[in-house]
This record gives sequence, C-alpha cells and structure tokens, in this order.
Amino acid sequence: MRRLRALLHRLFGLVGLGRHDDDLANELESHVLMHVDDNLRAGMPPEEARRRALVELGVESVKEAMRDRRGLPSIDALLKDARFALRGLRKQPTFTFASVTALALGIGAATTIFSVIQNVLLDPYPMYADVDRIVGVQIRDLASGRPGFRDSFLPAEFLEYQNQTSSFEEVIAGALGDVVYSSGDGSEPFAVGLTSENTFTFMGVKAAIGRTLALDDARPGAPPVFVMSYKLWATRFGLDPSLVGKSFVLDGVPTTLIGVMPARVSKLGADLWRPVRLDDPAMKSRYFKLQGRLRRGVTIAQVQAEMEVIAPRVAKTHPREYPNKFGVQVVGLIDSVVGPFRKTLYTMAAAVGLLLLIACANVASMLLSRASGREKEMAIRASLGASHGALVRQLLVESLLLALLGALFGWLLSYGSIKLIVAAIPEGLIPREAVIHLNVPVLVFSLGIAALTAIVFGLVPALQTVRRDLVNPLRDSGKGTSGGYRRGGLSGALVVGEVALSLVLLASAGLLMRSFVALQAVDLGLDAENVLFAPIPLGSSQYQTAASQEQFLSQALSRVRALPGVVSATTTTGMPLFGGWRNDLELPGSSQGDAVWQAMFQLCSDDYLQTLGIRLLQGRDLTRADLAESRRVAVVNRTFVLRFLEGRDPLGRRIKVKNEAFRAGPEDVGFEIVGVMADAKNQGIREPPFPEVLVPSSVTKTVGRGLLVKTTGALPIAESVKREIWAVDRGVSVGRSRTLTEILKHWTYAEPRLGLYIFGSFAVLGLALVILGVYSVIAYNVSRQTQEIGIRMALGAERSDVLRMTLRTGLKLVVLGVVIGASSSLAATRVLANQLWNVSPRDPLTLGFVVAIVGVAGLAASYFPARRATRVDPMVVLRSE
Amino acid sequence: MNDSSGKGDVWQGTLALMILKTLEGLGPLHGYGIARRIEQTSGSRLSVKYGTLYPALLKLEQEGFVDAEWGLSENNRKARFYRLTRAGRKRLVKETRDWEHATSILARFLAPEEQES
Repeated sequence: MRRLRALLHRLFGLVGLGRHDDDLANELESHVLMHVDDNLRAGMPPEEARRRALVELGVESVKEAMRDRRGLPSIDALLKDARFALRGLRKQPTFTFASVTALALGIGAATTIFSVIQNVLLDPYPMYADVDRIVGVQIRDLASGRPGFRDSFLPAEFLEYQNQTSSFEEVIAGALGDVVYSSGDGSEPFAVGLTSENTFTFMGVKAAIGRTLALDDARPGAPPVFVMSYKLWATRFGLDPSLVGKSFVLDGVPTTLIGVMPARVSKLGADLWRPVRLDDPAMKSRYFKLQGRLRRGVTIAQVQAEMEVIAPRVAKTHPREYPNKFGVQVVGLIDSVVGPFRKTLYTMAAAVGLLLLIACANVASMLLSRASGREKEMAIRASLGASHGALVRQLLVESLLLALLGALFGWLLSYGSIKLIVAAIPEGLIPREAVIHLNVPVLVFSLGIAALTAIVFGLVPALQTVRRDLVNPLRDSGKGTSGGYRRGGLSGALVVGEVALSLVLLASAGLLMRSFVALQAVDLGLDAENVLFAPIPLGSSQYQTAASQEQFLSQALSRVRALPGVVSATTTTGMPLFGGWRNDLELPGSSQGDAVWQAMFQLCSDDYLQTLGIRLLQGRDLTRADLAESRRVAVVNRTFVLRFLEGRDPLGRRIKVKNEAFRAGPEDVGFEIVGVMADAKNQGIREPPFPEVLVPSSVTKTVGRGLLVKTTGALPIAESVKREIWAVDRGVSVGRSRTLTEILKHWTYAEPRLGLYIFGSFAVLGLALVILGVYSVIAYNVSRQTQEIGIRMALGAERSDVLRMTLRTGLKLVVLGVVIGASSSLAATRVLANQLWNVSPRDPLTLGFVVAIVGVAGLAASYFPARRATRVDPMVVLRSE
Repeated sequence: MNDSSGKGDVWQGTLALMILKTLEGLGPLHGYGIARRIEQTSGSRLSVKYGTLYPALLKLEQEGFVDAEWGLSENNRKARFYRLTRAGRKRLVKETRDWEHATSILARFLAPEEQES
C-alpha cells in the first residue's frame, strides 16, 4: 500500500505534478543559509561560515549542488578526475612514459626556442628604459644592393641631423675606439666607448657602484673620468670595489674611474666608456653612431619621412661621405642588432611548431589506441550515470595531466638545451645585453603551450571515445571483430600527418646540411690552417709617420720570424678573407667611362703570399727592398686583371689611387704592377673575390695594422708573439689574436651551423617520434586484427601473406605521408632560402634522400609489429573466442 | 558507530526512525533543524549529510508519514517545515517497538563476549 503510494508520487514527479527540482533546490538553499547563520552566530567570519556550512553538508553533495547551479565542474570534481587519471596512468607505465617523453621533447624544444625569442627579440634590454622608442639612422648604398652601409656620422654631419630633426626627444652619440691601458704589468688594449655624456641617463641605467657619467664630465677642462663595464671589472679587475675613485693611465693620461655599470650594460660593446663632446676638435674625423628617442606619439615611419628629407641636405654639405645613390633607413634598436637573425629565429620557431605538432599527433594516436581498450570502461561508466560531458572532462583532465608532466620534464630538457644553444649562438647576432634563460614569461608561455597541446591531442580522441555508441561495446564478446573503423581511419590520418611533418623537418635539415657542407667546401684560395692573426693598432703619437711604423713593423717581424715553429710571418692592414681598405682608382691608358673602379688595398710586408699560401701567377712578389725603399709597386689579383684590364698584360701598368694617403707627391705616377696573384676570398667566403691590390706596407701610415704568423702546426703561439712585440715596444697594444680558422668558424660557419644543429636535432626527434607513432598504430592494428589473422591462417593463409597484409597497411600510411610531406616541403623550404647557400630550396637530391630515410624508417617501424602478427597461433586465437 | 576517531554516519534504515522521533518530540521542523537535532541528541557522534537526509525526508513524504509546507524559520528564513502525520505517528510506534525488540536480541548476543574481552 505504502509502496504504491510512493510509486504514484514518483510517477507524478515524472510528469511534473510532484515536487519540482527548483523546489528542492530552494529547500537546500535555505538549509545552507540557516547553517551559515548558525556559524555566524558562533563567531566565524562570513566566508569561513559559508565554507564550513558547505563542507559539513558533505563534499559529494556540495559538488553536485554547485554543478547544478553553475554548470561548471568544481575544483573537487577536477581533483577527483586528476586522481583518477593519475591512477590510470600509473597502471599503464609504457603508455605514460612514451607519451610524456614525446610531449617533453615537444614542449622542451618549444620552450627553448621561445626563451631565445623572448630574450633576444621580445625583451633583450630589460634594464634600458623605453627601448621601443629608441631608433638609429642608417645610410645605405643602393648601388651595392647590400644593407647596412653605415650607421655612424662625422660630428659635423651628426650635428646637422640632430639640429634638423624634430622627432627626437633626446639624442646620444657613441663611437667605439681603442685605448691602451698601461700598468706595471704592461699595456693592454681595451675597447673604449666614446659617448656623449647623456648616454646612460638616456638609456635609464644607473651605475652598479659609484656614479655614471654626468653633464659636467664632458665640459672642456673637466678632469678626465671614465666608467667601466661590469664584465671588465669582473674579468680583469677581480670585482675590486676599491678601484672606484682610483686613477688609471689610459693612452698615457691619468683618468679617474668614477663608476662601474651593472652587469648587462654593454653599450657599443665597450669595456669602458669615456665622455666626449662632438665639438671637440680631436673627434673631428671619428664616426659616431646616432641614436635618438622618439617623442611620444611619433612613429618610425614619420622619422623615416623626415630623415628622407634631411639626409640629401646633409649629403650636399658632405659629398664625400655619401655614395652616389643612397637611401636612409630608420631602424629600431632591437632590429638594428638582430637584423636578419630574426628571420632565422622565426624559421626555428616554425620548425619547433612542426615538432610540437608531431608530438601531439603521436600522443593523440597513442590515446586513440588506448581508448579502444577502454571502450568497455567508458560504456560501463556511462551506463552507471556518467554524462558525456563528465566522460569528456575526465579524458581531457587525463590529457592535461600528461601535458603538465610533459611540460615539467620539458623544462628540465630546455634548461639543459638552452645552455647548448647559447654556446652555439655566434657573437654579434644577438644583442650583447641579452641573457637567454628560463624566465617567468617563458615558463608561462610553455604552460600555455602545454595546455594547448593537451586540448589539441586530447580533445579529438576524447570526443571519439564518447561519441560512439556506448552500449555496443558491452554487447561485443571480444575485441577481435568489433571495429573502431572510423577510429582506425583517424589514427591512420594522424600517422600520415606525422610522416608529412617530419618529412618537412628532415628536408629543411637536409638542405641546411647541404648548404653548410657547400660552405665548408668553398675554395678559399688561400691556406687558412695554422695562421694566427694579431691586430696591432699603431695609433700612438710616436707612430705618426710611415717610416716610424715601418721601423717598428720590421723589427717586430724579424723577432717573430725567429720564434720556433714559425714558418713565415708578414704584416697586413686587412683581415684576410674578410676585407681590406677600399679605394677608388684609375688605370692610365684604360677607359672606364662613368664607372667607378674600386679595389681593396692591403699594405703588407714581404712573404704575404707565402704566409697565406696564395699562388703567384705572373711576375714577382713584394720584396724586402720594396719595403725598405717604399717602392711604389703592386701585386694585383686575377679578378683585378680580368675586370679592369680585360686580359691585357698587366705587368708594368700603373694604378692611380684616388686617396691622398697613397699619393707620393704632385707628380704621382701611381703603383706599378709587378705581379699577379691567384684569387683568394676577400669579402667573406660567400661572395666572389673583389679586385685586390697588395702594396708595400711602408708607402703610407695607418692605424689598422696586423700581424699574420704561419706556424708548422697548431701551436699556442699567440702569447710568444705578444711578448716579441712588447720586446720591441711595451706601449704597443696587441688585440685579441685568433687563428684564421677560428675566425672563419666564428664569423662564417657559426650561424649556419646553429641553424643546422637546431633543424637537425628537431628533424631527428621528429623522425624518432614518427617511428614510434607508426609502430604503435601498426601494433595496435595487429592486436585488433588478431582474430581475423587467426581465421585467415586457419583457412590456409601463409605467414608471408599475413606479413604482406600488415605491412601494406603501414606502407599505405607512410607512402601517403611521404607524398603529402614531399609536396608541402617543396613549398615550406622556400622560407629557408635566405639561410641557404649554393643549394636550391627544392634540391631534388636532398628531397629524394629524405624521402628514402622516412620510407625506410616507416617500413622498419611497421615490420616489427607485422612480424609479430605472423606468429599468431590460429588455434589459440580461435579457442579464446 | 563505535569508532573513536570522529563522527560516524547514520546507520542505514535508522535515519527514518530518528526523523520521526525528532518530529514527534519537537513538532513541525525544517530539514536543517532536524539534522541539527539528530546531531545534538547523539552528542555530536553522528553527522547528518543532506545527501542522506533529504532523500529520507522525500521518501517519508511520498509514503505519507510526513507532510511539508513552506513557512518562516525562527530567523525569518523561508524554510520547508515537516510535520508528523497520523500515519507517521503509528509508524513511529511500530518502528520503535521493532527496534527495541531487535536491539534487545542483539544485546544478548553481544553481552557475554564483551565480558570476556
């Protein structure tokens, strides 16, 4: 009777006549409110009162209540999901390990690259104020087609720009020079930044100890002062704070150290900074870098427009300083330093994006395979009342947990790999002030990436799992016949995508490698092995004539040549392979029309050709007699002959140099060509040789001298060379000595090698992930088809048939992926074009090789699970049914 | 119920009896009041979760042992007040008798053992 009554109630409830849900909700609400009232009376603070009321009601019910009211999962529910997911992951250590590894690689690589981008491109100057508004002005030679003609100006020019522009709030000037610091130990050259006194206030930095430069420090007659970089203070002066206020002898002048700048400040890359005035006559012929801070609201485009008007005016008053056709370009501070490296960084970001996608696809396909084992679990949970939303949420929480674990290990990976990458980034490509490290924005970014990847790789499998009919799996007896056919298709598509992506990565890496090999195989035209280059700037007052310089050089040379292990030695004015002193010239008797003829001049001693291993093609080399008598003779390179003499006999012809320094007097007849040498690279190894002229070092004076020393083997000769130079004159400074191979490695090979390393390691990781992906999908297919295979074998199929059948599935995926990847890499590698040298971005050899690698890897990855399929014992399979 | 560590949950089946008894003693009362009263009477050894209380109330209501209507609580909160019906009183008498009967039997089983230990 009572039961009947209750049943009726429920039926009425069902059709809406009984108590409504919101009635119940109201009742519960009032329950909570009364409880809160009680708690308040008991003296609890309101929030605590409410919390306790909810807690005491029981966590489960509170959760339900909240879910009902807000439609959002509560923290409790998520925590429960997380605990549940953790249990599930612990139960499947192989799956967990594989997917966390894949994600750690992807997220770790992304974190590393982003930390480079963040610290180099986005925020390299955290210690400077208003970096966004600091710009520089560059003059470009439009005829040469190459960017960056110069960004520095003579004081007279500088002041004209400064006075004519109205876009800048404030302007600073800076020039880099050499200064010789003399102490009891000897003389050392330091790089000095000659700066306008407002430089550091402009940048918004204070001294770490002492004070920075002030307005009065540059006043005529003010006592000479300087500030030191933290780096010099730390490396050379052992962080001694008592040095501030002491006097240092710089270029023979006692100068007071007034402060040390903070660690990351390295304006102009100088070791120390001295205040200068642009109207100081001593500065007349130096070039100063102009940087200005834009007035608020002024855009770079506006300054650009203004400069385009001002520059031609300035060019008129200083015609010698400007090429015939020039452009002016206003560049932001970060751009001016990073320049083309920005593009390299972006391509790296793209590469890491591909790697991350591969990792996601990989984990997604593993999740899909795993989901098939959980069909029943899902069905049971759904039939026990879990809503679809709750199931999807549960699966997503699991993905999120995987991603977080991946991020955690990824951080460890990137902590290590950032160190590697920092060591591999060549100097000068990134701002000196930049410090690449894991910081808060980077970590936040990588957490974001982790969450995003969780959604990318987790959502599709989750929806797939849940969208399916949840009841059918329960009816199935085994897993052999029921097909997640659609799911098979999806994981197949994921594998195809992975293969395609990894092919793009591999193709890029392959192209970079080809380009790098091509770069290293370039015929330099000279033998750079075991040649030391030691800069010896001769700027001091006792070397103001060509004769005094020559006397010093010949003495130093004869001492250096006497050192054990030295094969030959010579002097030069330009760094071999990378340039010399460009001058306009004329060849009497040759008509050049309107063209401007230019050649690179080297002032050198005898044995230049021998030291560098350059062949003499015709005539003779420079001799000691040429040097001693300052004979006006020259050795030219083949390019010179081909370009200016069109094959006519060069010997005996004369070169007139359009530069006062080379002029012998009013009746100058020029330099007589006495020899022709083979071409050697002289404007970097990517460019063809420029016309070059060797003349005796004694024909004129110049500051920029250097020693070249060829040794019998890789000898640590730099110190002894320095000693010999100081034996001649203690006051001569010796710059950083390096071998030509070191310089080459540093200037020419470092950047392409960095790109190669990064793309190479991403490509290898990508390939490994693909192998893992193909393997897991095929293995999964095999395990699903066990029964089918058993039946086939029972009906007489050979093991080889089964092998072929399984391999075919894998091959189909790989081939499809390779085709898509090959065609998309043809499009994608074009982005790399600016990093490639002598290799077409569509190089067929590279592509073919890469296709072969991916194909073989894919085949191998499907072979092992396929072989397992052939070991299926039909009797066992059929009986297990 | 004999755990010393904290509050126990209400035994299955006994909650209905406690509710009826509470309503008999205190007259019409809202759910919160019932829960509090049960906890008080047990000397705070029981905690009544509303996940168990409200379904029990609903069941009692559907079976006709209690009636309910909205009213104002002592603090002027809107609350749903439960009241014992005549059938409910009868039910209480019967259940009390059954319970005493059952516990007296159980007590005889347990008594000697308790002395031994």
